[in-house]
Amino acid sequence: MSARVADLADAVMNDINGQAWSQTFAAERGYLPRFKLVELTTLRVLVVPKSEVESVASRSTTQREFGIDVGVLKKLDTDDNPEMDALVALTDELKEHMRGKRFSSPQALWRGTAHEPIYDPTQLQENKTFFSVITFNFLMFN
Amino acid sequence: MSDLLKTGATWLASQLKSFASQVVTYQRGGLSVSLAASPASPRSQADQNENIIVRADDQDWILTASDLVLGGSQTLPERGDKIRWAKSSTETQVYEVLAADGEEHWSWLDPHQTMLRIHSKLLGAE
Repeated sequence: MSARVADLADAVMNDINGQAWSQTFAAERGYLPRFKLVELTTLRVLVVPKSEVESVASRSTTQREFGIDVGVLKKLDTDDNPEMDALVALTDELKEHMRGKRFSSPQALWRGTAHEPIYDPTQLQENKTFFSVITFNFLMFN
Repeated sequence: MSDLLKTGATWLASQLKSFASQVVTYQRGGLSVSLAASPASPRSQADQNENIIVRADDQDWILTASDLVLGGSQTLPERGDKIRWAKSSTETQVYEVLAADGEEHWSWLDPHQTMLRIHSKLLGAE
């Protein structure tokens, strides 16, 4: 039996990889993924299970809210706006795509999205790397 | 009266260059210069955001400021400059000048501005 949050993260990853995006990448799933700077010269999109909150939904059902992080990482070639703009646009595409999403296996319903900060300013300053983490929250009932 | 500290800084710079330096190529766009630089404080720095970790291999360089001449003019390091170090006959490591630990990407090493220290991060090998 696999963990629900892992199944959900797989569903998110497969869903992302099944779409066409403005940039080419293959999303990967992992727990605490680690990268060297030199490995970020190609665009990386990571799907990472983050959180679970369980609560009572009714007398007979339980509601679970899962947080799934989607990280977008890329070592930048320049400090120019267009390169950053394209990556920020990709995060917009991801958010747009997940809004209202309903997965059938496992059954899960999009609850909300958090994207703050839009990028990590320390990574941008010290590693000239675009590092952005979007948290998608999904509800599951049983 | 001579400035003993300034004389000492100049002497130290010459000693570093003669006995503890590597020849590197300092590059900015299409401009480059070969100069002697001393590798200092190599370290690995990990930054964690939420649950994703990015690790950078940092390398500082100490060099004589007057050696940093690009396009015929003495200059100061700029973010994004590249430093190429032929570590062996088959491998050249490429570093990018970038800030580290909340500091600027370079700083003076002495009050007389004889030597400077540059922060860089490994980009890869050629």
